[in-house]
Amino acid sequence: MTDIQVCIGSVCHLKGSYDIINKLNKLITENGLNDKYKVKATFCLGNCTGAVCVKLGEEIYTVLPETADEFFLKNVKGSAE
Amino acid sequence: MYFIDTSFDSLTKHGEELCGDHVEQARLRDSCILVLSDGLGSGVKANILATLTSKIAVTMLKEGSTLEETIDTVVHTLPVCNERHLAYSTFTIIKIYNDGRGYAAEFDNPFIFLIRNGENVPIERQKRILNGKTIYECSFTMDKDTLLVAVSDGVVHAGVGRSLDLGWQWENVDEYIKSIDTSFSALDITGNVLEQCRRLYEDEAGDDTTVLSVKIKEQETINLFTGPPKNPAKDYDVIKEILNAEGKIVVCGGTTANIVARSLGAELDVDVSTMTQELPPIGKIPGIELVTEGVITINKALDIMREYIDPGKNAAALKKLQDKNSASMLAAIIIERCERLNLWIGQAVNPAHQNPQYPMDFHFKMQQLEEFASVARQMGKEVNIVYI
Repeated sequence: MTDIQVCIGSVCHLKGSYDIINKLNKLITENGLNDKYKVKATFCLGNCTGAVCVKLGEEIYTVLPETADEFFLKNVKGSAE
Repeated sequence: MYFIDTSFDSLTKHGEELCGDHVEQARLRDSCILVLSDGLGSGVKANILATLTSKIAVTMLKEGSTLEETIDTVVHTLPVCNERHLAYSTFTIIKIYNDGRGYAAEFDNPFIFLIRNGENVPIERQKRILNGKTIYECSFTMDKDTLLVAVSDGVVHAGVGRSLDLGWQWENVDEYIKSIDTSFSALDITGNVLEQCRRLYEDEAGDDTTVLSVKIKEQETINLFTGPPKNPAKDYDVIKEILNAEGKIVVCGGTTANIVARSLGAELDVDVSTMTQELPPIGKIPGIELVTEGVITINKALDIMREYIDPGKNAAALKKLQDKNSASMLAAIIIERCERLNLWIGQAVNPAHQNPQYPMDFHFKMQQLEEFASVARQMGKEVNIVYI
């Protein structure tokens, strides 16, 4: 099981953490990856200039609600296959 | 000092759109005033009488008028009913102080119920005649195990001619209230008694029916820690000082929460179920009362606190305190549980917040916390600010 940590600090929240968490959860379910990935919220990841911060493995990505699909395809679904 | 937990609700007479009973409440620094009024008749006429009576009484008493002046004003203001040539509405005025002292002035409503651990507390009533009205005054003391319930006559008439020949008489209501679990909140008690009335009326109330409950809760010191300390080298010392301070600890701010968790060697878990579109979720750290995000949550909690001290919005604010989101939980701790508030304000500037795209910069944060302290002081809390 791999955690996808979405920052819910002030800046990230304002830039759309809520939508990103919901989108990622939906995408994971639609693609049948519930046994491989779990979306978690986390307090400030310390990279506020790159909000919204999403941590996967050791890497911190900048994801926006509009780019959540792209992030999922490239970094989650892509690596799961 | 105690928090005064109040709740009131009504059943409207079957077939009427407006309730002829009305309750008004005002929160003062040292006390809470409640007025329950039952207007003559039912529907719109009764509603106007009851609303006028309770609003005038609360407004005047809040500003320091005497009972005589207040009643005189009410009597001379109420419009006279065309059919009955009467201007009439009952009232029960209740004033509870933060230290537990209580006072009631009762006119033509059923007498109040005062119960401690399932037993009636004896009340000595003094009779007074004011403007030709017989008014009963009494003083009493409440503690955390005391429950006060005031009702309109719709409660003691519940079930008349239906399930009960004589209605749900005062003694029966008294017995019923005594049997209610003493741990219930004011909200639960009001709901419970009103539900019993609804059942006795078989869903068609024969009269406007109102229940008002008051309980008091003990308060404590709350340490609200927000923002990392200015000098990171001192993080650990500062946190040790806060953890050793008397009272409960609330942490607001993501970075602050991370620092506290690290100092305690604990995990910082996030409870995603409390997340909403508007508000980030709460976190959990063992030994910490509440963990939230900072500036957004504090801003929303401050909105609720401002509403709470506004008499027109107080009832709506009390409902919001029940919600399971970060701002409601923070506001509930400050309003209900806090006697002394220690605000530990970290002065570190988050560079990412000094961004033109981000409207909540350092100065906004500082202003917001000063406002937070000011509203808490208006509630009668003792507030102490420590800049770290």
